[in-house]
Amino acid sequence: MNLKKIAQNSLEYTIAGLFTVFVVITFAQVIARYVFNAPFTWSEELARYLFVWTVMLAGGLGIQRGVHIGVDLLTEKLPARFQGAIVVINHLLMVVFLLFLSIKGFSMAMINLATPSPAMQVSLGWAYFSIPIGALVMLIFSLGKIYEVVGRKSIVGGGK
Amino acid sequence: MLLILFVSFSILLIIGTPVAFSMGLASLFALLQNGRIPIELIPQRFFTSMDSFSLMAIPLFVLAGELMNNGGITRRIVKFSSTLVGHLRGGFAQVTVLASMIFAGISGSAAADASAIGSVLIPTMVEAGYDKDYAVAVVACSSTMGPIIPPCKIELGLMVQTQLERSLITYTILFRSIS
Repeated sequence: MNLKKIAQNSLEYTIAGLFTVFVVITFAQVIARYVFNAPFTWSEELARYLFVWTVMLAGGLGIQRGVHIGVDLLTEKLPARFQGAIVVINHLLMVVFLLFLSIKGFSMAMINLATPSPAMQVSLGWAYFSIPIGALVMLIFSLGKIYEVVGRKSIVGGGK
Repeated sequence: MLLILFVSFSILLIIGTPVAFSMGLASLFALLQNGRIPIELIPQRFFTSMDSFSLMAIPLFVLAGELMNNGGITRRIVKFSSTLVGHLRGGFAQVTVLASMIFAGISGSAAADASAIGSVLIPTMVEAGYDKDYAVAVVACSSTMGPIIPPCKIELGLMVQTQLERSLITYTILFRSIS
């Protein structure tokens, strides 16, 4: 429980930090373009990569809070005892996809490690590693969600 | 391949898997079944479709909405539209629609619109005796104007982008909305 809190908080601060840098860079880019007439060459690319990182990391937080958009029109109609099963099935399916994404994303990032990015000339790995790492974060949070639901169910069953 | 794609996507949607994962899983199944297309395509497309400059506008629009919310612009917009249409029958609902419209012209994002206008007007409407469901429905409907009211049509532009070369009509719509 405590571990979960720590993971969640550190993730939140990381995302907030990344997003702040993202906003500041975009703002500075506009100022440089319109006020000084000397736009940066690197800022657009850096902002795009920061955006991808923010999205991938925030995906894990979205799973934790259960805010990923899905069609719950039909599942809501099911009786309450199936609700937990539906959540577990959905998160298991997500785990399958995220496992695939982190493994294949890792190999893709390794391939692109030597390639420099067009504007900043840093390794493309900096950008591409957002996919496996973000998928891993989401994977951990989905597993946590499954554990939460299964654990709660057994407690309820024991109470009976 | 197409059959697998659509059938698995529909099943996943029905059992309530989040839409993002439904799309990913359906294409994963289809590619696995096909076998000839390299499966590394999925993380690669995953990255390149997010790595887009125009998509960056959406979180910034949401941020703009939050700033307007905290800075008091939202309250003033609500006040302004309340003076305009507040005296009509069903005043608060009318105010919500007008305020959403003005807000949409500035922010251009449905989510930002709903959170800004909704946080101010839903409590007010409930207090004035409106049904809570009704209040939420009005805010939800009127906030979808966010992406379709000019000048901010980023999301529409993204959606029709691929057909631009082919279709004169979409081009005209987009051109009109930008100019």
